[in-house]
Amino acid sequence: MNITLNGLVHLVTTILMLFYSLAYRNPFILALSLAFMLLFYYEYKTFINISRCVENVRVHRFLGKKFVEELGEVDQRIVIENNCDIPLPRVTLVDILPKFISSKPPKPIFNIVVPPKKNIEISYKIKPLTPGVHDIQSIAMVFYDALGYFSKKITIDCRESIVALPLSTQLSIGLQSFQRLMGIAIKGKSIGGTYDLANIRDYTSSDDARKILWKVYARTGKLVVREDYGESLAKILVLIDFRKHMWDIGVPPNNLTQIQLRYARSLIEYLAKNRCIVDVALCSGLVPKIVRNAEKDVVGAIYSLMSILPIGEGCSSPVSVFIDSIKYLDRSYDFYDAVILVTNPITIALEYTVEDLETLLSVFTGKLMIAIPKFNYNILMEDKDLKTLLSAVSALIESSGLGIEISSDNLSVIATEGKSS
Amino acid sequence: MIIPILITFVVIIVFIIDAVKDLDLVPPLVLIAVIVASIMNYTECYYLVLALPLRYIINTLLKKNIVKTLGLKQVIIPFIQPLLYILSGILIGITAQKFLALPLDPWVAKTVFILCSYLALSLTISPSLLTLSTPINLLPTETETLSKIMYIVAIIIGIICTIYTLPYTSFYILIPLASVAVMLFYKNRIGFIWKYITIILFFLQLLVLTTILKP
Repeated sequence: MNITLNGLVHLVTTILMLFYSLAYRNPFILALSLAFMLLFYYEYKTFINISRCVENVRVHRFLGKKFVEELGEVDQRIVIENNCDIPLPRVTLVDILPKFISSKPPKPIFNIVVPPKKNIEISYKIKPLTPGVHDIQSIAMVFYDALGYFSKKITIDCRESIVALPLSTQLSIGLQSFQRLMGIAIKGKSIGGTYDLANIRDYTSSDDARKILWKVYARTGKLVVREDYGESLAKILVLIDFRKHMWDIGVPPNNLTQIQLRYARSLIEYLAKNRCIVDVALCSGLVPKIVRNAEKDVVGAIYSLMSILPIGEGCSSPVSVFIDSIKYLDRSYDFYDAVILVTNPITIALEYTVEDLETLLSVFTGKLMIAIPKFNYNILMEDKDLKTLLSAVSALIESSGLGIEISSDNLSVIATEGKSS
Repeated sequence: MIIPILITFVVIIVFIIDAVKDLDLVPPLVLIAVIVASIMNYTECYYLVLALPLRYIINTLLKKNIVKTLGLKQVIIPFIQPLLYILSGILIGITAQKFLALPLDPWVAKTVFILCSYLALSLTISPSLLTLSTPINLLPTETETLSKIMYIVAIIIGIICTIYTLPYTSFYILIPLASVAVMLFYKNRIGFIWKYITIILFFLQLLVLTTILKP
């Protein structure tokens, strides 16, 4: 139990009034000082009862949704249950939100009155600012007497968690290289054979000559090709490397973690849309977390990965740890047509060694590609250093892998609107 | 005279701002006002201490959301007793200024009256029976016997006092008597006010005294 500033001032002024009234023989001030003394005693007695009652107060938290896209709003209800026979005349409730959750109102502090044997419900909106699992753990409550002379603060465990999925966008980019290398798209460049007809269009250079419809050419003099869904679905393993330091690079809602996760999700969606078999491994903690056949339910796969991604944490193993994910996925190394490692230059510079990359390349020979999202890396690296690093990594990867793909898609969002720009 | 008016004016302005914005500026300001009043002997500034409890009450009542959700009654109930104590304090003060008891010095008579009033009023703060019985344990008599004796003595003193004050109070004595009758016969119909009936009666009697005593 603590005395507040209001209570302290009340006590001091009462004593001053008492001395003054006795010194100047003023009956009115004497009566007033005694009334104040009585009031102080009454508040003390009331607060003792409130302190006893605090143990019988229950708080429950309910979230409107269990998962949401980052920057999406979720309704939250907090129910305060007063099981005592006395009212709680003034309670200040402070919801202790994790670092990357904002709320509407910006400060979740509420002053309430809880009548005896009744429940009070507070509703407001929260917004996860980053992808991952956000654990909302406790609520602080400060109990006061009616006039706010005494206070008691308690922290109540009130756990709930919400999973925020990264936003995604349609990658318009230079995934040409993926298409060329893997034959995953339906541009007539697929591996050959006629299966399910997808489209008929004009011939363009680099189209497979076997796809030209010669009968149509003979009839019309126009070169057209048929587009088929690929004869076999490309099998891709997406490795998402994710490090602790990435949380502190950039400012939410556009820090490096968010940009990289948005890019990874967009890439998975792109691959799934193009009928690839996609397995995903995300390194967070010591070992990678895996999802098989993410193409069947992309949102479900992203949810599974994000639900084990603690905010502010990251992978603490070398990048070669991804090799183990093949075992956990119950696949063989030869199963995949391509392996895409989603990472960024800062992580490459800080965490990777040549040996790690060589180990990866030795396992995924001819299949490894490094995909890098667009981000303002200049905040930590000079342009010259960035180019040197990327050319060195590119030379290494291209020696026995597929190369580097640097995205040109802008994945940042406008904070005020919360929409993908 | 200008300084007390100036201080009062400042406190009132800050009081209004504080009640609306909930900034907690009134307590330190009142403390300063009281210290200045003590040093400079400005009795008027002492009335500003009333701002301390009133600020909190007004601040809570101004929270429209709370009042709308719970209803005014639920919000007001915790403040009834403190408000009655403040009003009683003011009334005791006004009454005490007029109070005289012939064999005693005027200041002593006033002090005795104020102290007796507050001792009686303090009994409304549900005192712990255990605390009250501690000094009684020191006496050879049993607590139960002593409480019966004190109960009878209290009634006798009450009757004597009523007879003693009858020449002054005349027919006004009917007001507290009527209120006691209401309390006894309509106890079940009064509802939640029953809890506060003792202090309300005390308050009414003080009101009667304030009216009938002449300076």
